Amino acid sequence: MEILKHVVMDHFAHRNNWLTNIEVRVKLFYIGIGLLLNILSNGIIIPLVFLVTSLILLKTIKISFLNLGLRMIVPLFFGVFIMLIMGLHKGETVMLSGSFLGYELALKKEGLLIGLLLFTKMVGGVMLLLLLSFTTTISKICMAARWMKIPETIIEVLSFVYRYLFLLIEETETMMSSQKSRLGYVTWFKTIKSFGNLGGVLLIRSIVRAENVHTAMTSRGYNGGRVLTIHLTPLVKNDYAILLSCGVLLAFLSYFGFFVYS
Amino acid sequence: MRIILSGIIVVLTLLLLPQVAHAMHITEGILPPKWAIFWVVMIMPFVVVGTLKLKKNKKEVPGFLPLVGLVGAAVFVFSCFPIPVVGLNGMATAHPAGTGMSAMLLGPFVSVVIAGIALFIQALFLAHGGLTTLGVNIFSMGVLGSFSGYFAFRIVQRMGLRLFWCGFAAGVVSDLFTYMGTSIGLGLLVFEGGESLPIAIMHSAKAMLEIFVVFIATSQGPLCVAEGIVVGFAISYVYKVRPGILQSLKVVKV
Repeated sequence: MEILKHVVMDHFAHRNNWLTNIEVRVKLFYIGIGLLLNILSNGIIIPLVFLVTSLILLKTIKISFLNLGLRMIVPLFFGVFIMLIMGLHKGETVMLSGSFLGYELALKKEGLLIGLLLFTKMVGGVMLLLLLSFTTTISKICMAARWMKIPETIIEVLSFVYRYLFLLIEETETMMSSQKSRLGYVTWFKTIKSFGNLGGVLLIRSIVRAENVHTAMTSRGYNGGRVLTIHLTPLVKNDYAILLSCGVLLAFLSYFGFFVYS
Repeated sequence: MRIILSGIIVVLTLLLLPQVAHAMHITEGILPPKWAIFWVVMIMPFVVVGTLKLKKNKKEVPGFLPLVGLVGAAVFVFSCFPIPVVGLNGMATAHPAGTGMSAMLLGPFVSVVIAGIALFIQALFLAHGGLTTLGVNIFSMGVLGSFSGYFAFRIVQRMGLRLFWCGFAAGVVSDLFTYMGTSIGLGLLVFEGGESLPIAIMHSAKAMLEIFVVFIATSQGPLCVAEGIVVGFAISYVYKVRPGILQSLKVVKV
């Protein structure tokens, strides 16, 4: 839970640097185009380009490899898992074969190559997402979402979830510590029961807090409308230049056949 | 050669599964464009109905949105509980899906929206899942997880069993269906348009079944049961301490 709090928090995005200062819509456009190009690519070059450029950009704002590594662990393992699935199910040239618990298995070259392509796409895509999350706060993403005409209700719920997430994580940690000190986690069954009670308390607290929050918000003038108070600034010359370069890059790469629909 | 392959598979199974089990959401970049679009189309009606229900309740019930937001946050935290996997005692922990719980409390359609929001936050800030894979992840965790959990809860409730068992059924069934959805999403990756349709379907079905069996046989099977027990205890605890909450949310009758 401690790691979760550290990883989820968007304190990196609250820093003041050249990447956090770029307009959120421009960043979303770049990331959106990047993710699209990434899944459309038919080779490993484009995903690797996104991986390297995102890494360089993140290093310019002093994001440590440890922070990136923490977030990359699960996707990397998932990528290897996908490579195995592809290797076992696609292709014809058998590289390795054998049986596991009486089940015949064969790793095939073509499948592994497809798996490798998916692995690089995964790494490139995840790095693009990290570039966004390390440089953009949820509030700004919500504002951009409103500009993109995403329903207000969804944005409001997202804002509430994100606003109270850290508070609930902190309360959960405190309760877990108390449960641990009362030997609540010594056996598997006790652990499960403790988690059950913890889940129950968490629900009660969240619902009671929701009532209090609503009362407090109503007293401050909330009548079911917007909960976000920050505003987007108008786009300037630099923003348009970045948008245009993204468009030119897309046209250039598709002209040279870097993408394929599959 | 056979021994080497068997060795590789055993080692990778032991290393990979606990890690993959941490986030059984399909990661960014894995889905080709056609499948990414297919899954978005599949979830769209559920998200639209869920959003309309939220809007309607927001108008009718003052304070409904803060309630949904806070319960959503609680379910998000609940889904991060590190539950130790019985078969891999001490080696790994797995995380519950949490959709059974949210569907039980807020209804399946609203739960789809909550799952979508949770998956969006996880994709951005934990790198679990992704934006182009949001469709398939919402389908497995949001749609399949929420609806199966909700109906399991209601069916067991109608059978007259105690609230613990209703929660248990919701937790177990929603987890099973979530992993089934993920297996379908991954299995469809081996679907090849070049093959004749029956053969392509057979290949995909085989892959889906293998992925599902591998996960259930290792970490996710015990996790389903564990999540069921946790949800059962949690809902019983709420009923014991503050029954009014469950009555106002129409989880139990007055």
